[in-house]
Amino acid sequence: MDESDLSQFKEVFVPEAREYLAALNTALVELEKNLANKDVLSDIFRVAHTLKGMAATMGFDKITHLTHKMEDVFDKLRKGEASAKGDTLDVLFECLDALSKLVDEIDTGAEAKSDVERLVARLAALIGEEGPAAPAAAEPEEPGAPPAPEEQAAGEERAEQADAAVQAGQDESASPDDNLAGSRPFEAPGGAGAKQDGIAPAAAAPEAEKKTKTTHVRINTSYLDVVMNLVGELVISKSQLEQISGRHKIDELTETLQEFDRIAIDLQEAVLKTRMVSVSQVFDRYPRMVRDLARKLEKDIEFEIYGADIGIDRLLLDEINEPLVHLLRNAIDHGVELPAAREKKGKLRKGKVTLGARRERGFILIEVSDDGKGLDPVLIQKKAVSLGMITEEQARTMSNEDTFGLICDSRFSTAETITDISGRGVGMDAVKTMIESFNGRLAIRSQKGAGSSFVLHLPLSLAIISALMVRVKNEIYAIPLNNITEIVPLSPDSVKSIGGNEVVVFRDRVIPLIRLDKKLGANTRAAARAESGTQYVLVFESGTKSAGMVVDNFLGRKEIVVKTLTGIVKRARGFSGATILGDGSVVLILDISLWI
Amino acid sequence: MAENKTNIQQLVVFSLSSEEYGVPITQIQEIIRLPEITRVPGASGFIEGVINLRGRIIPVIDLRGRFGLGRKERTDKNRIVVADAVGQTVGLVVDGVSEVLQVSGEQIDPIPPSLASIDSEYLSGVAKVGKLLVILLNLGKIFNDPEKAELADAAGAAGGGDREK
Repeated sequence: MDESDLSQFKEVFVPEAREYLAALNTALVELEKNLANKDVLSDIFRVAHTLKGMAATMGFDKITHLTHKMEDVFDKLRKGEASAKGDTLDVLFECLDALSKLVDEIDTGAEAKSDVERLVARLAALIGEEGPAAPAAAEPEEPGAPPAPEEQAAGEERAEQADAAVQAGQDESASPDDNLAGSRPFEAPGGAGAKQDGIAPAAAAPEAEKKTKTTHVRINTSYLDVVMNLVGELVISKSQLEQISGRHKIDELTETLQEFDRIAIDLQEAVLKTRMVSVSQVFDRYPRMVRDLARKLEKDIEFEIYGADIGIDRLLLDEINEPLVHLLRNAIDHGVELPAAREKKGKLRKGKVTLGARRERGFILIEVSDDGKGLDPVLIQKKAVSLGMITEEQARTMSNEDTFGLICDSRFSTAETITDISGRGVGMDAVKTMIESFNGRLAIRSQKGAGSSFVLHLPLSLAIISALMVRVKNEIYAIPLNNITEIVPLSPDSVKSIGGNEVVVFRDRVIPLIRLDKKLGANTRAAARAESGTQYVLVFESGTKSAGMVVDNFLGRKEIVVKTLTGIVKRARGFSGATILGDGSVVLILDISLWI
Repeated sequence: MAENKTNIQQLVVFSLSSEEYGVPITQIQEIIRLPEITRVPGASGFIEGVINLRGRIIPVIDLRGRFGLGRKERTDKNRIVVADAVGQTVGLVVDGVSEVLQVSGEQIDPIPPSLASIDSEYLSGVAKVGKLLVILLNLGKIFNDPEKAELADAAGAAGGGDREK
């Protein structure tokens, strides 16, 4: 196979191979819990076999060679001809690491330096083939040889699919930098209702693939973005039509428009769905990580995942990985105690870490929880007082939730001794910042001695958000609703001043007041009439920080299509984008985190 | 346009104050009426705001302000010339668009050296068409260097690639 052929296949092979490796990692972790689990073994065998076939047809010899030998091992284990010993899984995990490295080498086009012979020899030793024997001798088939006859057809089909850049569904464990990798299978119309989000968990990939082979197609994500954009246009254009229709009151037109409205809404939902991918794509990366980390720290941990089939916006998927890694590490490192310590406290030796996703009222909640030692509010408050973050007075009246929020403050996180006290705090400010950067929110619950739970509240979509439309003098701005905790009328005599800064007392707390008109440099002359009416304060909370933002009026809630600001205007700070209203005018979306 | 001495080109002619300016039609995407312009707080001074161009949000620059010609009340004669400048689509507010003219190379003279200053880098010549004097604009140069750096920077940051370099 010449070079050009390779690079052509690479785009298909790399993301798919990564997907299979993630599935294998997850399955091996499962197998480690119960070595005799025949179902898992069969799954593993099948996935390994598919990977081998794929690598063989595309001429990636080293991967073929190694997976072939692994397959031998799995086959013997499956048939009970060999039994898994203590180090069997260690070797297999090492093989997966080596494979993942090989895939990386293919991806980056780096020279294939990794050597697989040593691992192949160790695998051979596991199943009683003579260890010292030359690896080639222990190899019944040529590395690049076609797969076993009954599988050959499948293998060839794969090659064809690869050629056409069309491929069976489960191709999602992609790296964000790969153009193709971010794409999601385009769902055939009939498939929409059949299966939630159209994606089976990766572990079931080979099976599902047989059924859905022709219903998925890889497409470039930029095409989806164009469609998304056009649908946004359609929605705007539709509301313009509705305005015109409202003026003319023609029954026939009104009826047609109602029908049009229904179609537009359905279309919008359908297009939004194409952007949704299941969280399993990220979740699948973690079982192996948790296992390795638990081993390293000599902890006994059961890792449970639920809701992996929940779909989220493809763009969010790339964003949540890093915060989740942080939270999981924290849970294992600082949350769950060592087995002996747990026993002393009357807990099971085996700790539990749970990662789950669920949908709740327009949000997706992703939760990382553990049954470890939990957070100690008293110690956290003490520390916060000593750091000057809060006064003792404040500490006395502070709720637990507010107290836990303190650990996300950068001052708190950087305090050196904090891990000794609360066991948390390392990187929590970074986690929170990352989550808020995509309009998410972090909630912390914890019971001292019983465990902690960190819940990410994520918007369903980054493309369409709920926003409150506000008027500031003669201008209209949109503010994402999830930032706002309360809206109250502003009574002028409640405004006090501290050191020249305006504050307002709200629910027994002093919060700084931000005059949006001043911040935005709005034309104060043009809207003198606004002064006469009641102004409103939008209360924002962001962890320990809260602020009240003064607006002249609010014009209600709206689902808006977010458009990014590019080019020269991208530089304007404080806005996360813009949207277009029904009348065609442009409204900027305030990025609250930059204003308080 | 020295290399185009004999070539005929089409110029879109628009007015600013009492002057007529021309831009090669190939650099212009379209000409639209003035929609509502949304101010962008914190954006560079030369940006008047953003508009909705069929779903695309594009920045708008007031050419009068840009050329120091003084402000004037907007009327229904005002137009936005949507053009490609420095690798991105921008809208240029002009007093009015009059016509499309065909000019040949020999009708174009360089800017008289005595008039040329650093500020008039963006003027690439003068076309004499009958009684009319049309000042040829070089859109690639209507921004000064710091502004251009900002534009290129922003274009690069927006993922549009570094077309300027």
